[in-house]
Formats: sequence, C-alpha cells, structure tokens
Amino acid sequence: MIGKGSDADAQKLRYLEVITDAALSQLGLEDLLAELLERVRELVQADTAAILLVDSSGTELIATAASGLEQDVRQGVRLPIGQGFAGTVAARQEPIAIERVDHSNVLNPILVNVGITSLLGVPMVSGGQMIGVLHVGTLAPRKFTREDVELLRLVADRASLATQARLSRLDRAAAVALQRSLLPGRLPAVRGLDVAARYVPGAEVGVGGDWYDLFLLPSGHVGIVIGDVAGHGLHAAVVMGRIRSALRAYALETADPADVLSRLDRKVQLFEPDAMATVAYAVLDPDGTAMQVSSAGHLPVLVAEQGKPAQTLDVPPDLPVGAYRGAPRRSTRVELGAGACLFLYTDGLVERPDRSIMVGIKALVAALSCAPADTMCATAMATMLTDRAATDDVAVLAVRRRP
Amino acid sequence: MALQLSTHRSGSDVTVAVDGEVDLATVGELESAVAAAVADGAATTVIVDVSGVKLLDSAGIGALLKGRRQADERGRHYRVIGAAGIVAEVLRITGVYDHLVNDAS
Repeated sequence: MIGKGSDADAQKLRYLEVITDAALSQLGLEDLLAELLERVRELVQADTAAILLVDSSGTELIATAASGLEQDVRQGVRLPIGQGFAGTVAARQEPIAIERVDHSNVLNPILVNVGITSLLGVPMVSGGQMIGVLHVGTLAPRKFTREDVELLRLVADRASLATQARLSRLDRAAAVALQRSLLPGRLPAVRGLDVAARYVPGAEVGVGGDWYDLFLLPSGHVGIVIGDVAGHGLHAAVVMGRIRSALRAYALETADPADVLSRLDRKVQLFEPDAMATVAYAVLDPDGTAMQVSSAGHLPVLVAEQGKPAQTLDVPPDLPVGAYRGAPRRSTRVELGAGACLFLYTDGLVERPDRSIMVGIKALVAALSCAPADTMCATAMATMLTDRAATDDVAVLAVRRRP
Repeated sequence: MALQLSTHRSGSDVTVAVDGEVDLATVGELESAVAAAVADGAATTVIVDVSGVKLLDSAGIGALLKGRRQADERGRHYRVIGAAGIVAEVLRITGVYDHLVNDAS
C-alpha cells in the first residue's frame, strides 16, 4: 500500500523498471502497455487503468490499452482532445484528479457504467510532445495523493518512451513499404519483345516522380510508357503512383494513346489540381509491326531499325498532363521493321544546367544504335552519366522487336 | 544564380520580368509574382518576360502553365515573351511553346 514506506515504493518501482526494460525487446506495443497497466493498478491500488494515445490527426485520443476497462479498447473508444476526462488531461497537459465522477466531468459512458467513482489522469509526454493520457480509477471514493501523481507520472514516462520507440519503428517500416511499392516493378516478359529498363532516383529518399511501364493488354496490344511527374522526392512519387495506375486503367479501355492520355489528363486535372506530368505513351500492334504514339510534352522517343543508328521520332508533343483543360492530343502512327528498337527516357538523362537539352539529346542519339535492350540501357547510362551523378531522377526503357 | 523578378504596369498590361535561373528552389517566387499579376484588378493582360532567363526546367514550365490557367480563370489575356535560345528550345520540345507564346484569349 502507498505510504507504507519509501523502501517498499522504491522496490516496487525497480520491479516496474525491470519489467519495462525486458518487455521492450519482447512484447508488441499493446502487450507492453497492458502489462504496464496491470502493474500500475497493483501499485496504486486502483480498479482500472487505461492508456489512450493521440491519433495521427492530433485531435483525438484512442483507447489503446486497458486493465479493468477492456471494453474501452474493444469498442474503440475515441475522445476529442479537450472533452471528457482524458481529453481534458490531454488539453491541459497536466495531472487531474476527480474525487467523484459524474456525467458532467466524464464523457465516456463505460467509465460511468462500470461504476468508477474516482479518477486520476496524467499526460504522456515524449520529446516535448503530448502523445497520450494514462489514467487510473477506483470504485470506492479516493483522494489521490501527491505520491500517487508522482508514481503515475513515472509510469507515464516509461510508457511514453516505449510507445514512441515502437511508433517510430512502425512509421519507418510503413515508409519503406510505401517506397517499395512506388518503385518501378519487374517488367513482364512479352513474347516477341526484348525489354530492359533502369531507374535512378535523384532524391535521397530513394523514390521520385519518374517512371516507366510496359504491359500486355487483353487485345494483344502492348502499352509502353515513360513519364515524369514535376517535382521530386516522396511527394512526386506518391502522385506518380496514382498517375501510373490510372494510365493502366485507361489503357484497358482504348488502344488509342491520345485517347488514353486525354482521359488521364481529365482525371489528373480534377483529382490532382496542382500536379503536372510529361508522358510518352506508345501502343504496339499485336503483331509488332507498327505502333501509335502520343506525347504529352515528353522528350522525343528514339527509334532505330535493326543494325542502324538511332534517330528521334517525329511525334509532335502535346501539352503535359495536368497543364490545361481540354488540351487536344494527337496519335502518330509509326511503322517498325523486324528487329527494330525503341528507347524512351526522362530529362534527367539528357539535361544539364549549363547546356542546351538539344545537345544532350544529340549526344544520346549518337551513342545509341539498335542492340539488345539491356545493352542499350547500359550504353545510354554510361554515356550520359559518366562524369556526374544524376541530380534529377532518371528513368530509361528500351524495347526491341525480336528479329 | 538567384532569381530576380520585377513587375510593372503599363496601362492595362502588367509585365513580370524574370531574370536568372528558374528551378525547384526559385519557382515558388515566380509563381507568386505571376499570381499577383493575374490578381491585379486593373490588369487585362499579363505578360511574362523571360528574355533574362538563363535556365528553365520542368518546374519553371509548370509555373508558366499555371499562370496561363490562372489568367484564363480570371478572364485575363496571358502570354510569355522573350523566349530565346535554350529556353525557347525547351518550351518547343515539350510542346508548350505555342500555348504560352500565342495569346489565344
């Protein structure tokens, strides 16, 4: 019992510390908090103990762990910060004790139904930020002492530390998973085509707004995409993910690339008002002898006939996607001989601050000739990026009709 | 190299003169200047003079296009003047030259 002597308290606290430290490495967050609450109840001689954590919006508390009040967690009790008992503790960021609970000072009907009479709550603070509330309750009326408050604060600190560590780990894991999903995937094997690609993100975060895509449509046509969302880093990558996905959906509906890009444009203008992207989209006929190409402000696609050097395709560029409502779009038909090669790229490959982009494109054209797809990618990257690391994203895609 | 912007009005024409490099770091300033010119109640035509621009990347093109959209929404005329050399090249190759340089309104 509290007050029986500081040695007993110190021992109990040490016991608590041991439990917390060992549990950190073994238990999941919810289990750890539940364990902690069991000990707190014992220590403070309370009938209930609960932890509520601030949600991602920062405006509500969510019941996360409870001892004696498991219904709170099961029923997903949420409390706006500033309302109810826990909400008030969170808002004031200081301990609050209530001797007699009633509907005026408590919002949570479960507390009242269970028959809680007295409550003591303390804020959980980590790194100067309020991340939750820890409270204990008793069925019999109770005047909580300063020692009770101090003990609860100590436990709250331990719980905060553990919570913050776990959440950071979860955040990082979530970020990594999201990043991976945004990276260009493995290219499918399409009969009759030799395909290869490279992607180098410009930003430290490892993802960016550039992408390439290639897919076999049910009709037998093959969609070939290169794109560049304006901006860089995670934000551009997230927008890119949506655009990449939407293009695929529209590609299923029509084999006309200008039509696909127009639909994509409409969608982007409505749902991503500030986004802009350049895209080159080619649709290869099922027999591979010709393709339709549409360019939304993208740099010229390169083509090379078997055994011949590369040249730029004469496809007139329309406006980038997201630039202007109702922008007209055109498709250009291009014939391809057996063994012909295509090379698509983003401006990171050819752009340099001190140099005209035409010079860069000329250098690329001079370096490339029709070859196995992977060789073309390697040649392009080696030629254009020898003397510097790319500061902008670089994505390249090479496609060769198998002779 | 820094970006320098100056805005002046001549009758009902507002001209935003742009000098220097427009890239991710400086594009925000350009966007603000153009938005302010479009919002100017006394203006019927917004002109963006890029003759002093040394470098224009996709972010810069985006800003110029955004200005055109905003001008359209406010019923203003809008055109980009002074595009030359590598700036004109990059506007042409991305298919935005006619759209920005020719006053369609």
